[in-house]
Amino acid sequence: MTLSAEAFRFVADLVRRESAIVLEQGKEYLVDSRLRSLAQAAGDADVNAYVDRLRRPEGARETAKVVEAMTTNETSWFRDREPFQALSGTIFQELMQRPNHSRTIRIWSAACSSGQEAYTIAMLAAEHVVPLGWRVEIVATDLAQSMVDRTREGRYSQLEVGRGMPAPMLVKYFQREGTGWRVNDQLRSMVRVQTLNLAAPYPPMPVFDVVFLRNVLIYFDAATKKQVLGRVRQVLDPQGYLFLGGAETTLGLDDSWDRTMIGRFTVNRPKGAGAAAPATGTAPLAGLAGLGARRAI
Amino acid sequence: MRALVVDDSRAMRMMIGRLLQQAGFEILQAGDGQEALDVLGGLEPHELPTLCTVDWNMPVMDGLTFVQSTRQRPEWRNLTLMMVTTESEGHQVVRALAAGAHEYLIKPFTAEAMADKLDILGLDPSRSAA
Amino acid sequence: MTTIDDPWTTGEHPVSVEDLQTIADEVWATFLDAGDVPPPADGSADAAVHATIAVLGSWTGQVVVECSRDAAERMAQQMLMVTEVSEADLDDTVGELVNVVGGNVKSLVPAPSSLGLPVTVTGRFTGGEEQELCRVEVDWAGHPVSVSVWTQAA
Repeated sequence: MTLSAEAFRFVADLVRRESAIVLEQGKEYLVDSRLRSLAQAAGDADVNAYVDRLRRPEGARETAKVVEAMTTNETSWFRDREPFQALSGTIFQELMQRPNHSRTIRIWSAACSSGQEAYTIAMLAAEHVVPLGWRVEIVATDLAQSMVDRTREGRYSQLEVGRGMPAPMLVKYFQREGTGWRVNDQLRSMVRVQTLNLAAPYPPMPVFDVVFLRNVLIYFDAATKKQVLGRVRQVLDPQGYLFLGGAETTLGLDDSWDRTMIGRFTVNRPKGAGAAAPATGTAPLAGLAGLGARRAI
Repeated sequence: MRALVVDDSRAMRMMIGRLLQQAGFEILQAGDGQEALDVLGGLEPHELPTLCTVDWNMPVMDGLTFVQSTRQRPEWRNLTLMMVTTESEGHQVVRALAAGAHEYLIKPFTAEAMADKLDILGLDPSRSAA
Repeated sequence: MTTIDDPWTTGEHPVSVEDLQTIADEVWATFLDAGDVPPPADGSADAAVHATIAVLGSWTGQVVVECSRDAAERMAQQMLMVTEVSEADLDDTVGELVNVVGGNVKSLVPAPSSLGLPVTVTGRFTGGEEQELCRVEVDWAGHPVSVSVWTQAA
């Protein structure tokens, strides 16, 4: 089936109103694939019929589900790998060289979806930071309450842990539970989870050393992107680091950021932070490093 | 690059072989651990596969025994061993890694999960070029 | 009053219907594409095939996959990429499917347990001395596939 132009416009308007996320023309396939299971669950023949239901008064009940389905990414562990290599190989070391009485590193996983990014950060912290007597506090936020609940639970299906997780990390930080796996207490204790709309004023937040804001800006229009970057700048340490998705940039939106290379990877820092530029070099990921070493035996 | 797919099910060998072929591997096959040892034993050093995917439960010689046997052979030390099995308890994963397996993929799995494992092992040409 | 620890009355048996459904759905969704498979023709469900695999150890039982011969042939065609399906192809395909379900079921029951090798047989599974613990159905392009777990009668 093909999604009618009218149905697409209706969904795009709804999503934009509820989340400030813009679905541009050409994203019809995305609407169709993301809403298909909701249409089925509602007993509708296809997504067009489901959108007709949304237009009727009883459709209000479905609104939250639609927004959630349209704003959720399929996430995997160690997604894209390079950001995590930069974090564990360079940034953690640089942060631990600074005078810091509380010996605490604070990281925000914004738009955390079902929590894979937050727990990936937690695994790397448990490997590289915690053994040196430092603490890592991770705040994970998402627009959708259901994603916040999922992240807090830390339960993943077999197929979800299959996406990008090295086996040594799986058995070290997860326990088998029913047909899936659950993040262990150590990692869960490092991650605080709450709902947050990136496009609205933020509640009181700590000052973060690192913010992961990956693959979120792409959904916003230019004005909202600018607003979000401005607010993130407010909660990021002047010497901090901002990770964006591979297709995202601050260029042309907000000139209060500098771009720094760590290995082949670009990270954004508040202007002026470059004075404390980190020694470059990326260590292989923990777990992956172990494998490499053993393979060479 | 060559891969040796060790599984007693021909259907599974086909499926894994197809995915590895798409990732640029030339495929060798064996139906159990002993046959896999025989295949490896018949190859010249330059013909050895880069990767072995290994099922656990097989007749004649199971996958864990096969992994242990290959780890005792210095001439095969460069083999990357990945268990691909329905054995899915955490303690089984630990056993296989301790025996010398480098990765572990639990059945059922998606094509993406296989690609992720190759990426982790540094064996995915499409991703390592990026 | 005596306490009866019968798992069938307390509902505490190791494999719940929800768990079994999750496992079965994941196996068929990942390994078999239902996309181009035509729905069953009239009478095609008459001939059945089933495969069993034993779980042995702290918990002992059997996992069974059963479907029409027609469905099994189509699964074999897909997994083996052949047009003509032999008896061996059929045994292998349905056997591997029960093996994958069986391994995941084993992870739910008390350890240590080990998995046997699958056996594929023509006809329906009758159960014999064993008692059915739970059963779910997968709808594979309109072809019903039943997945069940059996254990020694209490």
